Amino acid sequence: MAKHACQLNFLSRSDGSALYSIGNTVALASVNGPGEVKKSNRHYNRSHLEVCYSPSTGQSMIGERTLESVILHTVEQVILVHLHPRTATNVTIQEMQSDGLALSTSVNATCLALLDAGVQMKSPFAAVTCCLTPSGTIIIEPTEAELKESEALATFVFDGQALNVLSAHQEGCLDSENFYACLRKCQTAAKDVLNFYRRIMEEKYSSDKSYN
Amino acid sequence: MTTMDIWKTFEPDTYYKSFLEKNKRPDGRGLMSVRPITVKVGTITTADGSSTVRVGHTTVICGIKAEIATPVLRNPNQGFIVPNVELYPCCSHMFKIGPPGEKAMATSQFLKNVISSAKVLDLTDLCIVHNKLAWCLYCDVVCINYDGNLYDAALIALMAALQNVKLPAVSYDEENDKASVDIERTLPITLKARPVASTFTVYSDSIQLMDPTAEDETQGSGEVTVVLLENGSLCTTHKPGGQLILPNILDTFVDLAKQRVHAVNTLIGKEINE
Amino acid sequence: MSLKVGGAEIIGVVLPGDEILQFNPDVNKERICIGPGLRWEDNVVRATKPGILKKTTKKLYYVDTHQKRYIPQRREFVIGIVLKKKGDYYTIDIGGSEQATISYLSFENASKKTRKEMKPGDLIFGQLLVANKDMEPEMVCIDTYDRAVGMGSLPEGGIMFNVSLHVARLIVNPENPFLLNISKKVQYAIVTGFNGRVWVKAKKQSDMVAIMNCILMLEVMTLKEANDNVFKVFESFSRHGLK
Repeated sequence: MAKHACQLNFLSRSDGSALYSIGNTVALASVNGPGEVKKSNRHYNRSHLEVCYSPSTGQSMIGERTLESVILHTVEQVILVHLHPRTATNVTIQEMQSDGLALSTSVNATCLALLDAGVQMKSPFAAVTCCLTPSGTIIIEPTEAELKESEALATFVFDGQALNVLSAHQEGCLDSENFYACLRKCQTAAKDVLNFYRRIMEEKYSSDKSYN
Repeated sequence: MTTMDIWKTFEPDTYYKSFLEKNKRPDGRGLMSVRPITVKVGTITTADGSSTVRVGHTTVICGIKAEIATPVLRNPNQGFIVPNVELYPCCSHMFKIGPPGEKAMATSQFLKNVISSAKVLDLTDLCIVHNKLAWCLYCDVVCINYDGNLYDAALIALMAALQNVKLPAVSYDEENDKASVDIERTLPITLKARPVASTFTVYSDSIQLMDPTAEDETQGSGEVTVVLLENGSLCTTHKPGGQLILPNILDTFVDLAKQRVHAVNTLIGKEINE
Repeated sequence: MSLKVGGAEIIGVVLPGDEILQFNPDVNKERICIGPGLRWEDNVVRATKPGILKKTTKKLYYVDTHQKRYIPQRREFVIGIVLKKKGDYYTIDIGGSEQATISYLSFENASKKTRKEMKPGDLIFGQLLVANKDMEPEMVCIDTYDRAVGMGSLPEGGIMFNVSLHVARLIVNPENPFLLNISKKVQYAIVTGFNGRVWVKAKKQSDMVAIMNCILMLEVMTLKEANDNVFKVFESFSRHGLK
């Protein structure tokens, strides 16, 4: 597994932010909300969610827009949106450095930014990418070079409670045996990611426990 | 208005739920049964390949326009295939005029993913002269009527249209650097794989619906699309968020999708041969 | 492992979705109270926010979260900025997702004749009378006996700045020695709203800035560290000759 690292509260003016890296892929996520909402986006029963992904170079194209929609639908399921009707929650993700793991890094960055902002949610979520090499081995969190060589890649987002599948994205052919092997390997890796989240949060609150 | 209509208008959720409790859907189908599919190819005479597909009430037209382009330096022996999905307000009130919305873009990207991961076409087949000329296939998918399950319908339409494509023969005169197109002599393109998508809507942990209508999609929370090849291997899984699913439910989806692959491909094959 | 702090027992750091305890009202006869950051669903109490789970002696459980965004709660004291006058009401920005309103009659000794006049940009300190997710928040500057008890518009000449909500909660705690520690250095008036806004007034401008910097230290330091550094801040201000 590649090395995960995270710095919370990276931006001082947003409600919550996280700089997250998996290996050499780095993403910065910032969360604002629940705050003021445009009239056209106002829902009477839930908070309006918006996800914006900006790539490190150039304009956001169709690929980035799909990434946005995957993250949006993932986050939508996890945040308790009905607790804050007539509000908007904005998630902005900036790609900082790319080494093939843009989706899983930005999903994890989003989760930690949401935790940092204290947005009410059902559970945390963790994304893990894996790829299948032509020789049939599964690599968890590969590098861009490894991805180019691989037969197929799959990214899964798991929820923190029972490690059920929240989102799945797969490219390249996999027979069902390999698919489940990937799924199970990612599931195990997701446990480590969730433990990492817990360590980060314990660190954040460690200063608080000792006061007085 | 009948009492049923009033119920549907005022309490859409309980109305819908009452059907599911009896393992039925408002259109009379069971939870895992699919809508009838009709495929018609060559519906647009001005296009190089076209098809019209109906999945229940969802109607999709795909037209393919072939143009001659220059290959990019990185892949000098490859042609291009560019899928694009358009959703106009005429097909559903969900869509607005203006730049392509989230759904249209997601579907375009989905088609692109499927083509590349299933290796539907060998892009080198589209190359005419190395580093000089190559075919570029613009595949435009337009939805005429939207009643859910756009992914499946769009992919069926695209696959049928691709099989309908007839490319004119091109001869290249090296001395004068001139290409001439012989419209009389046309050749079909060979497809390496014929993927078929199956979409499921997740309503709750225990209830999943195959081939959802627009109503199913709004009532349910999130879709799962699995794309299978004829040999049963999984070439794309697409689940953008939505309700949590247990990994073993995916198993059921794949099994059901396997049956569909054959049925859909025979249907397209029959239509092509006619 | 638990620690007692200010009447509340610290249980530990929780993440959203963590199971706090099982509670079935049919079986468990003993009552419990669940506070912010917790939800009771399917007979299980779960956390919805990350933070420190605390429990008071009266079996009140809550999660103490570090957050910056204010979500209006009834009866909380907040500092608002007057935005505009709208008929009999002023609209006030309290940092939440919606603007709050305050009637011109909700001030001490206000009547239809002697109405309270305020202009946009004025600061007021008040209490939220109405605040829930479905309604626009409403502020008042009087208690139930029509007395101001410290509420009302804030005088000219002070400075206002924003801090995280947990810092605001920390400094309103009367047991907190931090503000008293600053007062050894300089005389000042301070008003803290639960919405993370702090207003400070002292004689000299530089003192106000120094106090602001002291309080902002709490964002990143523990109380003990901040306490030790208070004098350093004042020292650096006097050394640079800011008067």
